[in-house]
Amino acid sequence: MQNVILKCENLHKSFRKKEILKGVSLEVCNGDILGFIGPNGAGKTTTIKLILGLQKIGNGTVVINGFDVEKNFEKAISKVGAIIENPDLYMYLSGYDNLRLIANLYKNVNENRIREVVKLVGLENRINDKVSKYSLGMRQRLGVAQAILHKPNLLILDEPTNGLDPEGIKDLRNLLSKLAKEENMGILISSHNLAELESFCNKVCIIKNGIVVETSSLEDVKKAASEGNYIIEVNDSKKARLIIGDISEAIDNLHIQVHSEKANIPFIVKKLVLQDIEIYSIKEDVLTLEDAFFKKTGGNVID
Amino acid sequence: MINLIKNEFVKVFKKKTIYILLIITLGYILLSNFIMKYNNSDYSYYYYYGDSLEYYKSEIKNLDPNNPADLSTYIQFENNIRLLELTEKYGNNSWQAYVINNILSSSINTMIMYEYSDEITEDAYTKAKQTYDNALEKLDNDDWKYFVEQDLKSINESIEEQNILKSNTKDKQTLASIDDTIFDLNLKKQIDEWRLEKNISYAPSFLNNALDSYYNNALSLHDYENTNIEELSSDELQYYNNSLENANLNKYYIENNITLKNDNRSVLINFFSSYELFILIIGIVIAASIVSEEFNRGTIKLLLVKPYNRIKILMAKFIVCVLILILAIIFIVISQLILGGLIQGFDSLSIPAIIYNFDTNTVQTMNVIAYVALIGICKFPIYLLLTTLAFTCSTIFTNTALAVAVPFLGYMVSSLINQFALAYNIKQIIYFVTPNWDLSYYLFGGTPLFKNLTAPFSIIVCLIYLIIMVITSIIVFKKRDIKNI
Repeated sequence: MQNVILKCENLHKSFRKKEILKGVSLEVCNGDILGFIGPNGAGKTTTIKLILGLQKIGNGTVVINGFDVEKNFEKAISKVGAIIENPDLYMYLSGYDNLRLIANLYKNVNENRIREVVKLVGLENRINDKVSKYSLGMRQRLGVAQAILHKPNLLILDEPTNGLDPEGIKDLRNLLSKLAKEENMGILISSHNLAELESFCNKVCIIKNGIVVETSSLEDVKKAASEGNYIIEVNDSKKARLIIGDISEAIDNLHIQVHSEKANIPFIVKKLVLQDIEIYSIKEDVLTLEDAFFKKTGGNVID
Repeated sequence: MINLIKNEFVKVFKKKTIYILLIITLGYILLSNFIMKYNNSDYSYYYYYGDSLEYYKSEIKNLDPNNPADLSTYIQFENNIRLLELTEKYGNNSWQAYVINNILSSSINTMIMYEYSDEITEDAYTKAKQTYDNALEKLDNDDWKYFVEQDLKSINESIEEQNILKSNTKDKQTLASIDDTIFDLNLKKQIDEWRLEKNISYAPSFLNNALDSYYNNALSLHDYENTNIEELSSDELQYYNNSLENANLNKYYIENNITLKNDNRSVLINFFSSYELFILIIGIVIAASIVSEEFNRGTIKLLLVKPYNRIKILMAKFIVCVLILILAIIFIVISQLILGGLIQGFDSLSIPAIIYNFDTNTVQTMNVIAYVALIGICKFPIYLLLTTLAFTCSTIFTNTALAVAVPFLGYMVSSLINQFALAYNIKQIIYFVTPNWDLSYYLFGGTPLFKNLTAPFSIIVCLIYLIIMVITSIIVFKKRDIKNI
């Protein structure tokens, strides 16, 4: 049973006269990892700041766990963990002291929980060092640790993969999947690193110029964007192109791309076979998230 | 809320800033106490300068006493040379130095005049020579009381003369001037009697200074005798009260034979004028950075997404600033008490604080520690308001440097503002904070900087300024959008 944890409706925000958000709506349920994607300047960070009450909402509502963020901030935010932009920590304190400070602000966090979280993010050996001596990856881990310390049911991460090496990204992915599955957390994760998000999320929300252009499950986005594209490997692509006609396009000497409904594919194959074209393989061209993203947003343009 | 406060304390005390400030303060305390210990003789006369003796000796060679044009300069130089030579013999800080330069100089002058010109009669010369020889003997015998007695004798004679003069005069103006002269003579008589009674020689010392100071202040007070005190302007009243206080305090020192030194006690009595800057630096630097630093490092976001509303977060920070200010004051007082005691000895603390009470017109005493605490409470509004100003600037501008600079400039300009208002008689100044924030003016019946101020009024003005600053910072902090950091 999925409950809606975070619900944003029709968010608007302007700075001076420039409208940054023009009606953003999104939903996160428990167990979801929602990828919040958009080019730089699309309004990802602004949306997250509105959700967390860091900026005043121009218009619209944010409801977390049934509480309105503006009207009942303390209750709404109490089960939210977040990393915004960078994991901003007190550099002159040790990792442990940083966590201790956070722990003081919640009732349900004790010494055991701190140890548990430190182990979860794999910082046991360095937790008593000053944060100023940490690498960016370690800070990111500590950032995650402080965000999940109080067992939130909604985790909001703004560009968490920035500066992480592939190993770190893999660890983070595993950690987040585990949190979503085992603790049944809802996770909102923004990024422009699309290749990474693909392996993280089960839902995506694409935003461009302050407007949500697509919200659905990851598979749907890809399917929708790649509908009816097939690549056929043949021995002579030019000849094949002539046989099939305008719906096809030669990619190189051996590959031809066909845009068609699925039901038509057998007929096309039959045609080619009858004309003595040799067919080695046919595969549906499933777009990567990145391709889908560019298709939806029409490239990375800020206006 | 308690947890927020606890966290802010952890953040402040885990940073190096406060420790560096405290170490500098301790260094200053140590240094100033050591300097005081080894440099404790600041009462001295300055009659003799080796250089000027050499100067007169070389210059006089170019002068010819037989040339009428040079004569007066020659006599003057010769006079200086003899005085300086005689002073050199007994030492610059001896009682003899005072007698030579103030009592003997006229006899010496007469003797020289007789040698080089014929304005002086034989009789006058013999008399002067006799006085001089007699005096030299007393100087060698360390008999300073002789000179006091001589002085007393001549004063008594003058008083009698003036009294006779008074009985023969009817003119009011002349009578008034005779009364002034008699007052002055009586004052000098009192001083001489004290010298004999309390055994205070002319040699530079605290009590010798006290005698001088008493004389000068009592004389100034006499000028106000026929004035209605109520009608004095603010700065005249300050001056009058100052004289009243000094005259009475010095009288108390003389009568009770109290010698005050630059020691641990005196540093504590004047604690806030010596250490005010250090208190302010700690209070202001902490308050100036406590909000803005979180913005500059981006950690404010961490704090604001915790389940506490922004007012609580800000107030926790403010409370911590105030507590640290109080702790800093206590720390510096105790450091001075202990370090000053270790360096200069604790025995000076047995002498209480000596205060003139304007309400009862008496001198009263008070335990030194209690006195420091009392002054501290009265001066606290200054430190609190400047710390709050730093805090407010920190919240509004999120710029630490600016938030440090503004209160310090305010502190430096504050006395200037008061002086300006006094000079141009600007009455509205009483609604400004600077004439009101030092409550120590009201202690012991003292008068405030501006006549029509009262303690309750000042407290209310300070509170209003405090509340305005706190509310401004709350509004700004609550409304602020956290931009990209």
